[in-house]
Amino acid sequence: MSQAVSQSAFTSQLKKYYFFYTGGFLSFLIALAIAEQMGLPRVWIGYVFLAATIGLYAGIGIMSRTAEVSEYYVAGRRVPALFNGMATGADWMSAASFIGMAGTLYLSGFDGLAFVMGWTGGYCLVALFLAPYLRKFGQFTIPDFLGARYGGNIVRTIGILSAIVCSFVYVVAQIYGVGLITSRFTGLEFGIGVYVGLCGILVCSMLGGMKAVTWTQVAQYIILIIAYLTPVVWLGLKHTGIPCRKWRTVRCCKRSATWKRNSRPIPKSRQFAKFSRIARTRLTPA
Amino acid sequence: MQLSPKHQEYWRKNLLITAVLLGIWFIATFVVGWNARELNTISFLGFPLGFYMAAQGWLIIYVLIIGAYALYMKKLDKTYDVDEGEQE
Repeated sequence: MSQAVSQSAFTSQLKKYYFFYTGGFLSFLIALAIAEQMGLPRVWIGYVFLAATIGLYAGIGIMSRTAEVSEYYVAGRRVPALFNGMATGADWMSAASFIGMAGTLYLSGFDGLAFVMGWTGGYCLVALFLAPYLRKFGQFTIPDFLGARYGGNIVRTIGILSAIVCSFVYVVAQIYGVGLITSRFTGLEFGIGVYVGLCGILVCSMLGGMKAVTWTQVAQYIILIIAYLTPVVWLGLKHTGIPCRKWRTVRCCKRSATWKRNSRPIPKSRQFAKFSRIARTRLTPA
Repeated sequence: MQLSPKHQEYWRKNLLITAVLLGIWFIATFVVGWNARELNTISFLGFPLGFYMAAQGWLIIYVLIIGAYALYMKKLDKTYDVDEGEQE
């Protein structure tokens, strides 16, 4: 019973922390907006935002440093479901999806949706087959669980190999994103940007393992969800004029015509030209 | 450990819900996905249905599957008294 009591106390404390954190983030945004009005150059806004968020993640990472095995691998098995969901959601929306997904969909259109489908559909399989039993078996990693469940090193090896293949592909995309963002914001060379970004990740995650990662991910989730919703709401307002018609500035009422034009397949010869033009405009330092 | 009949009933229900949800998952993913070209002739909310399913429909179904599983198992754990206490 005391376990349950301390768990609910832990949860309410967490809620309080992240509530204040969200308030702090919003006031930070307002402060930046005021600074922009007073004439802070855009480059500096970028620097301030980057430094503040990385500092924050590093702070959480250092605060949740630990030397206990179960804390390191599974965050002590006591992350409340809501927060765990937020952390998982932040993984969904990380660099690979933020940059890679938008680019993939833009470049290959309908075919690019295979990725969205693959990882969300795959998550169903994880939720139905692996996650509940992984927890009940009390193992730390999926290969460990497979080894304990099916008894044998062959299954374990297969688990390890697929884990390495999956995370390798994922990490390549992520690290590319990290390098891109770091070099874009700091003006460093791409190669050095990768190392600087990786050092940041190391500080955030190495000291505290899963515990640190979970709590930084929750913090990231709050930032990401605001960052995702703002442009969507803004675009929606501009296009539909709901709830206030005055805010509608984009008027392309013939949606069917636009839709047809946009959904026309781009000829292979032009695909790269379109992409490289965008890449040039995005990547050239201001 | 010898499993009591109660445990076995719990496990049967667990398998049943997994099978049902997996069936929905399979139909949504493979049967619909396989016939996407034919479905594209149908218009849904102004989009071709096959396209809509890939862009939003599947994701909604997947989220519902996971949600249904989590809720059902939580209730089942409570009924059979094997839950781990208040996890929030």
